[in-house]
Amino acid sequence: MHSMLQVYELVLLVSAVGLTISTLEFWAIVPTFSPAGVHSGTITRLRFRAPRSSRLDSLMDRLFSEQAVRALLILRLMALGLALLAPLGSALFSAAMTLLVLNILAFNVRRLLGDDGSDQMTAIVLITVWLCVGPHSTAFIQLIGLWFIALQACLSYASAGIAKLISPEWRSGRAIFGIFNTTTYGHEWAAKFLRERPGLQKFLAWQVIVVESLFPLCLVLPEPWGWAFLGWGALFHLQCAAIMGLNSFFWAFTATYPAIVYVSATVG
Amino acid sequence: MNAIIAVVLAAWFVVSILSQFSFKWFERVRHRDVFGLLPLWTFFAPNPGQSDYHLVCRDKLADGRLSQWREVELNEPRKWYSLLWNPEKRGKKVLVDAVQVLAELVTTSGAQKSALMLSTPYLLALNVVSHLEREQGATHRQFAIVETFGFTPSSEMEVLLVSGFHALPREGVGNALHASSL
Repeated sequence: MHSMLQVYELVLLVSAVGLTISTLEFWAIVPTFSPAGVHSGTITRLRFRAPRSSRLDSLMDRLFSEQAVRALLILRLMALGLALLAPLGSALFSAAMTLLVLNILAFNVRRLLGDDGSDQMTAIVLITVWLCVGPHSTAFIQLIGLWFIALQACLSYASAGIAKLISPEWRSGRAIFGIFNTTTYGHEWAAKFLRERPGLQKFLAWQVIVVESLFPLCLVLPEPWGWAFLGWGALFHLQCAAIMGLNSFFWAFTATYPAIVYVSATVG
Repeated sequence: MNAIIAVVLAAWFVVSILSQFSFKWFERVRHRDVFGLLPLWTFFAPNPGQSDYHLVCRDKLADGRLSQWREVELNEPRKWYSLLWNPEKRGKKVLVDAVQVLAELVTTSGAQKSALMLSTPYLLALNVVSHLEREQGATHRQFAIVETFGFTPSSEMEVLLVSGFHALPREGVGNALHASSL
């Protein structure tokens, strides 16, 4: 079995791939953070009370500007690079992770809408790594961190599965066709293929419902059953990336798998 | 320090569990989550999104004539490499989220149009359309959010929201929003 630090290294590496892609994607659409864009700072700022002083107001303008977003994205990549290069658990690593976490939190404040589950999971994973890996950490807290990541992943899958189980649209299989029949999350060829195949729709829906709902069992089942869940998960996220364009989910969620494997081994 | 971290993670996990349920009281907590740390893992369920949303706008000219509706491009077709690289998904997601908030305001709280006009999603949509190029002589702009139902639609498209006419800033004056409506 790998050591806990080796597990954290894997978790961080996979998460870093996703975060890098995501950061570069934001860089590609940075004009949407201009005053005219969907991520306009002018609108995002409305969440907060208007400052009384014009100097503070001017500072807020700068902090919510497109230029500030560019700076945040560049600093993010630098902090991430430093975290990957620094010896895991060292003071330098902790400093890099502190900058990275602050950056993520600041970027979350900057964006009003548009976050998805992959952003949430990536933030959870990286904050946990920051809290649990460093000069301050003991074996106990490292273990707690891996448990936390594994449990959050299991909560995610189980919540998604149970929410589908209580949905008539999902139980009937109609949800599968309905989602694939949209330009936002579907594909015309997938919609055409599924349209006249209600049996397949139902099968696909139920396999997602069952595996997601039962996913927490991967923590307690003996091999290879635990691995079967992870294999399904990886293929599921790959399919979501290919058909639905949800590319970031693959990296965000598979980043939790090393933690799941470790926790499962300790339970076993 | 390690004990504090353990308590923080335990509390975060408990709150994460609570976050999955639609408790009304929890929405007040979520509203304060500016850092986005309260996860919501119920993707596409129990009500899966099975439609596309479109933001459209038109201008009113000084002589009272109305221009054609035109769409704000947010739904670009996905490319073959989108499984690896898909920056366009972010813009679409913002609109989806904005519409969901607006729909909730209209249906569950029965918000009056005047209250809707002050909501952030409404202002977001208004801000986006207000910055688009205008028709010659345009003085006001109106936007709408339209819902369509797939590549082979089983239903007619639905108009979810039509705004009033909002005054456009005089050209060269700046981009301040004018919330007066006719």
